[in-house]
Amino acid sequence: MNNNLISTNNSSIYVPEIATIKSVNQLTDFEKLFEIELKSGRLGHKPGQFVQVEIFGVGEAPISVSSPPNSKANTFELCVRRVGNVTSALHQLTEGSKIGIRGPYGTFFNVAEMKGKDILFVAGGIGYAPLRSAINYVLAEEERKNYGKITILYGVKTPSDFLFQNEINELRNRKDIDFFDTVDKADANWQGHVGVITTLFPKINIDTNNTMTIICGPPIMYKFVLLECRSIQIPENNIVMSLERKMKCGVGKCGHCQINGLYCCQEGPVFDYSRIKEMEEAL
Amino acid sequence: MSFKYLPKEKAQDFLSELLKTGIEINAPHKKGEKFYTFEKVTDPSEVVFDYVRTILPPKKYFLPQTESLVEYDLPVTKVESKIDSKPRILFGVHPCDLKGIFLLNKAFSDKNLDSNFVERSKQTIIIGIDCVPDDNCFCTSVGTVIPKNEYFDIFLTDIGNGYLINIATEKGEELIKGISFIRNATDGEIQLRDEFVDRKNNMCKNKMDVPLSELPLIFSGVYNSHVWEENGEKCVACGRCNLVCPTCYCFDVIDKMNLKLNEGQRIRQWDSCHLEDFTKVATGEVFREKKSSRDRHRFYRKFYYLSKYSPSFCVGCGRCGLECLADIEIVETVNRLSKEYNGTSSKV
Repeated sequence: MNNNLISTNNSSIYVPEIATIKSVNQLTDFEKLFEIELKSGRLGHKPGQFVQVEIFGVGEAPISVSSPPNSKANTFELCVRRVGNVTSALHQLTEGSKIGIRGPYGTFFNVAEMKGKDILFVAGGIGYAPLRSAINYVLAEEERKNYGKITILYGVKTPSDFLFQNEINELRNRKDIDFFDTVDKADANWQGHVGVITTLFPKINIDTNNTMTIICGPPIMYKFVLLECRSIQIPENNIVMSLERKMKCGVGKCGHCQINGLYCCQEGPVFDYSRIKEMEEAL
Repeated sequence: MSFKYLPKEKAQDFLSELLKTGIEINAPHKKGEKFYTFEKVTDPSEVVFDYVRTILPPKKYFLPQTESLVEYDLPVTKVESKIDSKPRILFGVHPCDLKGIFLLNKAFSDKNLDSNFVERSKQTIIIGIDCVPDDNCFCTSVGTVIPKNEYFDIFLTDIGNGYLINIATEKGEELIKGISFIRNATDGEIQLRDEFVDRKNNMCKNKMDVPLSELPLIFSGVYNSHVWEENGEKCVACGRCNLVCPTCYCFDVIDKMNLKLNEGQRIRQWDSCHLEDFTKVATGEVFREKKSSRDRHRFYRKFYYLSKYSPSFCVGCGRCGLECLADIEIVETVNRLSKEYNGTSSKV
């Protein structure tokens, strides 16, 4: 090492805070829920924002925060699918392990502005993870009265792919919301709806002009869901969606997440549909 | 701030004086038969004052090919930022590269200031030098013929028997102060510089058919042009254009452990938007799958997406066209686009 290295503690935007994994819950074969504690206190995120998760020695990955900002606990939750090298390494970690956290970053589902409105949530697969932050926020006891009708559509490939099974069971039974779920492919025990998520649209009953629609799912899903939204005449300005990109820096420099001229980590990941609909690279 | 004069026979002595400050100097050196590179100066006689372009632009002194951003112990108890920076004199930078450094500074000191880049920038004294364009240069088309004073500390122009020295900053004044063979310039010598600039304005044969001010309009309408398909068919997606570009600054970030497994680093390294994996997410989706869309992306970063910093993020150095294995060249591409543009093409 040469003697010109300047050591500083926190002057750089690239330095993560060391955080502790408080608990780990296996949600499905591929997804785990990690409860994370920061020494500095609450993360202070908004629904839909993401953090850069550092597995020391392995690398960093952008992960959406899954818990609502108004949760009672000081901790926050990340629902992570095991798919790349960082998420695979994260899945190896247990309670008490240290990871690094930068953020929260990016735009968010503006639930404050949606007060008084109805909301339609459309979640496909792991897309439920970022939406859960907004869903659990508006369904919290102190917030529920501030919102009108809440409709949730949730589609997964097979019944064993449902995330947060206990919470989903509660949602299925809640009387103050309309909750519809579906699987692409049923198993012997599945009694519910079978079909892709768009097949749930005939079931919904919403006031399209007063409803904000929030979409998150795999890239293939968006266009078909948008077609349904158009066919029931949901105004384009009332649709927001969260997009996945490979954020390497999270601070609008590295270029990896760029969608045409937009840095997804800065001007996304949550976009108004009307803003990105003419961008070829959006989806 | 002021104009001075340096006699040509004292040019090497000037560098020797600068070396006496103890500050590392980096300047153009000859490499092989026909190439030039920025290297550390140990012998002033090896420094080349008249060259056309170096293989790599001097961006490597602000954004090294690879650098450590963060270092930590394993298992982790401490995480620290790392900035490998020291005082430096960058000598012999051409107007295009000066603009390149200026633009990178803007991008890295904008919102979310990048302290690694900015710290190096603060510690660097930049001495530019004027040049004579070759057949690949197109500074006249992108407004980089003569640098603004904010791009440098000191700027030299060859005016025959000596160099006119334009000193733009106090750092520059400080550096020149006390060098006995540098004297105040006369009005006639400043006049000679102006005459050179006038000539240089007409020197580039490689020219865009449209003025710089019209490029945003053209690029707003050629997103779906067949020109991108044509370029994409030729492009081999090697990424050379990105590496030699004075203003390509996209990077990758990776972690590395030492062999003892007790320390790790987060490392930043140059990356290329022409490589297929550049936009790949963990689940395998690639958001710019075609070479044509990646080629287009680079052009749009130069002439459209980053216009908040400058009307052109391309500085006209000619490196990418010269290095391209498929003969894709900026001016030729822009001219084909402008020909096609008639106000009816698709929007971005």
